[in-house]
Amino acid sequence: MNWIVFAFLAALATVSQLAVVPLFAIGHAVPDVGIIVLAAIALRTGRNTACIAGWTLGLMRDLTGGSGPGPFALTFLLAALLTNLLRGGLFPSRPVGMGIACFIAACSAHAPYGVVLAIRYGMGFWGAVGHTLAVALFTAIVGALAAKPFAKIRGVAGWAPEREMLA
Amino acid sequence: MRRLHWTWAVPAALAMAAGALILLQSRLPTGPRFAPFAILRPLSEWRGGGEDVKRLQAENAELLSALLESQRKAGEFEVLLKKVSAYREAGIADSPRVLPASVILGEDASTWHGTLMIDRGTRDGVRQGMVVVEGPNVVGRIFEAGETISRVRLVNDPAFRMKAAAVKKGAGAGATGILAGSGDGMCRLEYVLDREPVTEGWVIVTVADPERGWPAGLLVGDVMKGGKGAGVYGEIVVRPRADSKSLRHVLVLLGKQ
Repeated sequence: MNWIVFAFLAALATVSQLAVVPLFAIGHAVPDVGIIVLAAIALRTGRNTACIAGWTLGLMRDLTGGSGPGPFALTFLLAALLTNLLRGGLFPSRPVGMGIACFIAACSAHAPYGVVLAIRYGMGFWGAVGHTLAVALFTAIVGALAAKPFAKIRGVAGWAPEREMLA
Repeated sequence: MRRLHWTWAVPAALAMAAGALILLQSRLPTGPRFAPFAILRPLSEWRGGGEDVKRLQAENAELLSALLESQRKAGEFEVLLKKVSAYREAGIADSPRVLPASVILGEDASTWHGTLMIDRGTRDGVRQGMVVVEGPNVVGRIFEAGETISRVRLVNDPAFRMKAAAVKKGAGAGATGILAGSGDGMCRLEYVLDREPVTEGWVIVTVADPERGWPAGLLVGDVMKGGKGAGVYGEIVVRPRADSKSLRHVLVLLGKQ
């Protein structure tokens, strides 16, 4: 993977998460742009690359949010691992494949954090589940729309073509 | 077997690094973490306008200081009137100094928390735990203070906790509890017995805490729903007064004069 392209995508995802995405919020649910980038990478690269990318995106989320450093680095790492396991089963250049991958990645990144918040601060278990599903659904829709643009930058980003992944 | 170990070495190392970050969270310095946000300071100053805004901020700070002073006097009179020694200890806090600050980042990227960043830090006297207000309304509390930038935890954040009281408009007495954020933009007042008649229309105000330097009588929110909850405590849903989405300038209560 081209890490310069990754750095640019990670910075773009972080800035848009802070400045653009809140404008499209429905209630308190917003799409998670970091997860979309993570899914696009995890479906096209090896396990180690996907994990490093996921961990970095999670750490950037930690540094720009109120969670403090660490929690999202861990949950994004989990999401990268799970999404990477789906590699070969889902086609990231197709909207449906990307949408499903984004939904699974968003659920695996946000559900553990929501459960921890529910247990530690008593914010309500079903509230946490509802928020996770809303964010995951929103992320899946935006991720499906982003499937084609990500497919176009595959060469520049140094991601493996789908045929190669299936081999 | 050795190959299997190496394939999981990177994920395992990253997981351990993340775990270490979580465990050492409170010991990590805020300076390097907040450094990238320094580029937003000129933007907030530009958005904040020119001399007029700064003059209005200073005036607002003076007015709030005067308001807190009058609340302190009212508290003193109430204490004298009722001869309640406990209330005297809690209510006669010196009026705090206030520091105007601009919001440089109003959104939290995590989707779970409610935080914002302001352009004041330890260099200006800001410390962890200080109350942040907008006029007479509580916005939140400082939970991380860097040298020039601080992060404020909003009242609707799930991790927010503060002693507060539900007061009926026009009546002095109220029910005291712990205000907690719900994470969905609302708050709840916990540990109030369900026999307390807290209903819609009551207001939530801060309770003086001399140890932490919190003044009494600042508005936090309005009760949207009050009713019987689980166990002996009532379920009280509160809508915060301060609208975090439209915040541009806030005031930090620095402490006693």
